[in-house]
Amino acid sequence: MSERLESYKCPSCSAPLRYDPSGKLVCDSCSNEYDPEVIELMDSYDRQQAEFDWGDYKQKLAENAERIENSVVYVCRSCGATVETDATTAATHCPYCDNEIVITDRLEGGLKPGGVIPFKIDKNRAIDSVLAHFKGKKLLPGNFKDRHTLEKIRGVYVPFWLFDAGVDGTMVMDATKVRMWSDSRYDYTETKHYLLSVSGSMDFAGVPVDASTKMDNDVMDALEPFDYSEMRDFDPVYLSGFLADRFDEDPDVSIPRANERMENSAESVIRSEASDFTTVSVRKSLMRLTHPTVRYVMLPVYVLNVKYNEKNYRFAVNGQTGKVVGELPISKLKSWLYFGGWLVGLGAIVSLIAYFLFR
Amino acid sequence: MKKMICLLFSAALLFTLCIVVFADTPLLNPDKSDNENGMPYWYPLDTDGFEDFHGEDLPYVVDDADIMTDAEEAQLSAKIESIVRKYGIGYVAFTDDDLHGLSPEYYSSDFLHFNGYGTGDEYGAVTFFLCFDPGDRCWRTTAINSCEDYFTEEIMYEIDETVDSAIRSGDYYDAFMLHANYVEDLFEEIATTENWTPEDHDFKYTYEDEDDYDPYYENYGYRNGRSKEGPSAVTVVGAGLIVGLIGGGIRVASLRKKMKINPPRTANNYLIHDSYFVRDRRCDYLYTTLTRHEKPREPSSSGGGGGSHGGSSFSSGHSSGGSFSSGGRSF
Repeated sequence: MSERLESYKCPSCSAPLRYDPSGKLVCDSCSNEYDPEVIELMDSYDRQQAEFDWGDYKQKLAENAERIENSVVYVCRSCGATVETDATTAATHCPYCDNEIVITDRLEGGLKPGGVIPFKIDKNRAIDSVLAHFKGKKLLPGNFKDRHTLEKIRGVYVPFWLFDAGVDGTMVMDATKVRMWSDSRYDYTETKHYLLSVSGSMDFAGVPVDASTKMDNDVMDALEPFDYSEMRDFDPVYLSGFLADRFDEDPDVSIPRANERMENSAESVIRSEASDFTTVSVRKSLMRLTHPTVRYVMLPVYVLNVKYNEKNYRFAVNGQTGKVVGELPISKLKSWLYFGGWLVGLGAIVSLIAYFLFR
Repeated sequence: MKKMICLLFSAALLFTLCIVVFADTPLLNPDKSDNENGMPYWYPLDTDGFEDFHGEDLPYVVDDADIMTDAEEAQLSAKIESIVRKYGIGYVAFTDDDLHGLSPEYYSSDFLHFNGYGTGDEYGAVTFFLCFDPGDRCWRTTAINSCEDYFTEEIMYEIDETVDSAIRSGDYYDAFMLHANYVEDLFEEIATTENWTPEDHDFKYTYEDEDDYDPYYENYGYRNGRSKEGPSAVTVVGAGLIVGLIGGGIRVASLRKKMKINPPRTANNYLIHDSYFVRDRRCDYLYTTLTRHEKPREPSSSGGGGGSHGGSSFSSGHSSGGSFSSGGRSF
């Protein structure tokens, strides 16, 4: 320990610590004394690094690789999207860009997913959901709600990677307990500082990240949750009347999004163990994955593209729950009208109150 | 030659002017530096056995804090002189920026006693003292000897209300003039009322019932655009516009936010219920910090008796020079 002593810094003032014959580490700057074991523990935490390692998931995926049989593959001339469906379903327009698509039977069927959640709501209910979503959106342009436009909504099975893993983590936190009291002359504040470390583990199942570059990640994340209890083994029959997008985003690209979400949740859960302290700040978060697996599934999504002022607005409807997600266009005229109305209305009220209050 | 004559004439004019000004302004002591005891220039070196006396050629305005112009001092001096001559009382306007360690009550009381401002057989006098000591900016109306009977706590409170607006607005000359008007009215009332007692006074301000009368506004009007009628139309509409701008901006921003997508940043929906368990929890004490802050002090009233109300303080007692009663506020 003596070799390392010179580099130990005082947790209070960051001045170098000195070993005292009393067995304590002493700070000559602020006169605090520390247990050497605690300072060494703190130092060891600071040196540790943790990283989520998803292991050899690709090999496991490859072992189960099968292709969808008897499918018809379409390629969009405009955006290059590759979608497939069964032989009985005709697709004429791309669900992503609404341009014409061409049929091709030269392409091999896509990778067979490990599971699929069938569409639970039909097209009309999806349209109703979109119309309900528009309600209350006061800045939405009036001509945007045309039902005829909404008829173009298409059901698409969107490829998703589902990440399953246990998270085993240790969080090291600087925590304080504050006590305040007063006498006749002074107000006192006593702050006790602690090094708090909490280790725990938890399991996550099916953290989804969409595997299609055509779908906006934020839109797909906002479309959650899906009820995985209704997941079925894939059967081409589910494609009847719907399109299925092929995954074109490697899991490696999706992993950081899954990691971030799991890490945020794990930290939030572990941090709740420090609720008895006045303040808590995270000094180090050391998380690692246990038994990670990656699954490839298809989830039901209605997709609607609406062109407005030369810009394409895409809406997605959860084909299982009817939840609608999508950025909406904003009417500049309505924005100014609302702003002006509030400016005049609120301004008048405040002016009247000020006049009667201070006259 | 012409230049020489002009120069001599100017010098002579300046000299004459100086003589006229200084001759007309009696000075307690032309050199206003502290005495050898570290007390103000007018403070006796030895106060033991002090007895009140009648001072001569005393100024009616002693502006040691130098807050008034010469013209203001001259006008105020004329006003106070007329009061002193008409009612035969000792009255002086006094300012200073150093209390020399004394309380404002004691300091102003000593000023009256030690300079011999008292008049008549009972040496009654009163001063309106404006104190600019950095540690205690305040004003006091201090009365000594027979004048203590007139300047009761209720009268002091009314004086405080009378000068409050002007002092807080920084219009000190106006405050002195208001004070002088009040003292003049009070002594006129005393002179014309048989066996006058403070109960005979028609109070415009009382502790319990304050009306809207503001002598500062009535006498001088509010300066710098302030008006007793309340804020101007431009101010009211301007305030409304600012609040309307902020409110409209917030409202439109919240409406626009509804048009955006808010993706989740956690995986809480996918945390398997009951899968979480704490493997280890360790808490090590590091150190303690203790800070203390002195509480803000309440304004204290020195001397015995009296009290305070609405920020006013009233006290009475004995200073080095003799007895006094004093009232005023901080600003």
